[in-house]
Amino acid sequence: MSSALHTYQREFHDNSTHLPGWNAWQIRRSRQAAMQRVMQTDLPTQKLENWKYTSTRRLSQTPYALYTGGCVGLYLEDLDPFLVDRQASHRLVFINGLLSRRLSCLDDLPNAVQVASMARIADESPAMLSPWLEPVLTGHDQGFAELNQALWLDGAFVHIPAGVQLIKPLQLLFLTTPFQEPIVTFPWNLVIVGKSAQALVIESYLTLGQGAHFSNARTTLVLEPQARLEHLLLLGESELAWHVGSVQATQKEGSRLDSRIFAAGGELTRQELQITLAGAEAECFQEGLFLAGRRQHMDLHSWLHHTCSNTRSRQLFKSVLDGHARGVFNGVIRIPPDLQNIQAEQKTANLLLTDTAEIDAKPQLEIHSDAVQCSHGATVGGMNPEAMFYLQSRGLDVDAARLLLIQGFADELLQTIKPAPVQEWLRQRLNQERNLP
Amino acid sequence: MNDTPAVASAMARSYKYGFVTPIESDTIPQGLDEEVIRLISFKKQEPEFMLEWRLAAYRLWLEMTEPNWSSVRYPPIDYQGISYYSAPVGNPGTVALEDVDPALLATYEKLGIPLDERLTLAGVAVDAVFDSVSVATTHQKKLAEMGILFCSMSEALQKHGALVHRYLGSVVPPEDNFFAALNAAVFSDGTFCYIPPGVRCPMELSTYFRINAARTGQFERTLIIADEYSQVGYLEGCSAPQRDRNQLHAAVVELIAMEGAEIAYSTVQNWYPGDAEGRGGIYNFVTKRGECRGDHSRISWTQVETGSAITWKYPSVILRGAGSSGRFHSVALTNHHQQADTGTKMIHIGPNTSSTILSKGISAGHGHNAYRGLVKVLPGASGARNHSQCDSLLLGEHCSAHTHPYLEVKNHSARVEHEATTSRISEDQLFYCRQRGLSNEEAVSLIVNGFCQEVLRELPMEFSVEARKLLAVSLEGSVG
Repeated sequence: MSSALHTYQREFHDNSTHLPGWNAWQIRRSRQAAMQRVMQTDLPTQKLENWKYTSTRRLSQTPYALYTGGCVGLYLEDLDPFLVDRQASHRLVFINGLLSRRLSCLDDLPNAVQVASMARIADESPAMLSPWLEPVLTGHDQGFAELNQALWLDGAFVHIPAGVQLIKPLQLLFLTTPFQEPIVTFPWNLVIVGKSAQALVIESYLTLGQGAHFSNARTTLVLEPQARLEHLLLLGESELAWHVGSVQATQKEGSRLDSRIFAAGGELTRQELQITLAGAEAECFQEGLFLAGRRQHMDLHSWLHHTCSNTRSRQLFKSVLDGHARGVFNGVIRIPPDLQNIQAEQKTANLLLTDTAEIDAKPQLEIHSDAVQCSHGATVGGMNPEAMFYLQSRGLDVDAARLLLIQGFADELLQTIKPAPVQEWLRQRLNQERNLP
Repeated sequence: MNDTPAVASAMARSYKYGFVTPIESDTIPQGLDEEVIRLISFKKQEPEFMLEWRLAAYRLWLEMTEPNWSSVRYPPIDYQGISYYSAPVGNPGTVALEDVDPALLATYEKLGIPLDERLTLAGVAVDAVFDSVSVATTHQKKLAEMGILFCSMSEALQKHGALVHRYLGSVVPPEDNFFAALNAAVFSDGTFCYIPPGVRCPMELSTYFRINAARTGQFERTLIIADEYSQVGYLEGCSAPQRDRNQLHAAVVELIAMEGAEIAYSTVQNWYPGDAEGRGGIYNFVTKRGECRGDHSRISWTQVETGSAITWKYPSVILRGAGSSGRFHSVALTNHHQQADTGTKMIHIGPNTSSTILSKGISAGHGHNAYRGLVKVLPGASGARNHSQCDSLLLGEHCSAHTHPYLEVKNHSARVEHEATTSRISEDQLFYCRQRGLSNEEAVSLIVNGFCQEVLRELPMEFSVEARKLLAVSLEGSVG
């Protein structure tokens, strides 16, 4: 067993009674079962196919301390750069993984919309969580998600009832502040979008200052029939931070999910997206942009599972890699037997700026049904010298030309984001986080 | 196909090459240990270094575990239940053509491979491998005049030991993988070919592998060396009798291309695929790899895989020389319960290297077809270029197609592109063909042929015709 896991297990044993929902048997059982599974499989290593390109040695050998509370002393003004326009959004702010009621603002939420701390829901009405306690995936490569399931301390619980449209975006900000001892946070978010309801949820993981920490995040998205959810995930933690996250979404008939992910921060950032299209006419559109430099390691694993006929998906992932950065892309589209009329399309484009940067891309199709149209495309390349020449001949210097081309490459994913303040905020964040020339 | 009119006819057209030649053979008892290896080496009168090499490989193999990462599924192989050497009696090695047992010649005649040189109109030199040994090699004299060495591996070990010693295992070393180690330990024969500098081989060279004896495995080893600025085209064909038990075929092929040399290696693989219920058939677990050692050298692999119960191989190219290029063209067809996990590896090491991958997978019945490929660009491979295209065609509701490309790029001036599609035959195309008077089966055959056209035209003429026929036969009965 890895030494970090040993520490987490001890924490689990010693502090289990303080974990949210421990008094409710469903939650207690789910935590214990998850801990048991991860003890059996251990944390993932590079020997596993899905972790082949990602070294977890650091994560499995360094135990991070569990943050359980304490004064941080932040004012709302300190958060300004991390938040979308305050007037134009609802927000939940989590400092070091725990909800800060003082910094959050849910003033004008429509009636019946429930946005609350997961810890509170688990303690006060655990029955609401019970349908979502079973893991979507288990196995040797799911060690970190299991760890989250055993040890989650807080997160956002969002329930948009049937027919309700949330006009303003809902922002979930996870901000980690520097500590003497590197800490680990285990947020679990659950977003349920009811029948024909609609929402935009912005989930962001950021660091205040330059501390080292480890975020092990898990987000469960549930889309009821005809629901529409836009989910925007921003990963922009500090240069020393490690992030391992997973998003698990289940879509019922006629629902539509727009999932966008933007990653720029962290020393190691790994995000898994597991999406199941489980109802007819369900659609999923996924986009992702990764900007990495220095010695950053960025990793995106996407599983798209069509389990119902007449479903559609489209994916586009781009990465820009500079310095000694390493990018990993693994995208699987899986279609089981006996399904009809499925369209799945996946594209990944990767831009390498230096000879020391590396990309390992693995787009995969696993098709067991003949009535499908599936395709994937992957490209890897450097700056186009002709385009550089063109811009330079128009009077731009090398750096400006380079920047313009990179912006052009990335803009395909940024310009479709609405509403405008969110797009503007995201551009600012990426400009700040970006370590590109 | 669920919604096209049924043509559920002619399901089982039997495998044309499924006959057994009743010939007395010298088969050693089943089982594998150091004694067996000594015996094989002794029977082949090999030089001392070979025995040492084999034993070292065997010891390595003992410590290795059988790989299980692929998508193919098969019951565990009993390596002690295989006989590792079987030779027709009276054929201790290659002999003059006149001395070959007429029964053997008749067998090859029946397979459509005339060994009689007078009958060989097309300029193809053949090395015929029957079970564990090479029985005849044609046109040797004519080739020798140009300095080309073309003979069985046994003969090469006896006559050109130093040359073999220098190159054997330099591309696929025994420690490479489980089956390569097993092959290195027990390989019984194969083809050796050396093209001297500046020579263009005047005819296609070819090996025809035939498994005849029951409960044997075939382990052969092919080594082709094209010296500077030489050029050679090589063809490989194979077949086996129809049996209920699975037989293992674990070969190793090594290609070495020096500066400016060109090797074109084509395979039409037609091992017995098993019956419609998936009983029997050959396990084709082969390691094939070529190395472009010199600058501007070229290696191409073209394969048409229609046989075998399981095909599991990745013909690869190591692009070491500057400006060298590798190509991989493949058609893999799986019908009934056949499984295929095939693809290629292109390792770009030198600058300005280029590679092209074109893979066409066709699944029918309960067939399972997976493309697995690796394109690796190392930091030194500036200006490397790769384009991969993998298309899969699904015929039927129970078959499957997987695509697993791995792209690993460590150089920013490299350009790597991959594209893949999976779909079934479009109703419009079928309708169009049928409206013009073609039967459903003919229409599917025509469309499949069109789908594979880009690969088939890479094959030499005779093989191309053969491959087209094979595709049509293998698909028979799968439409309906």
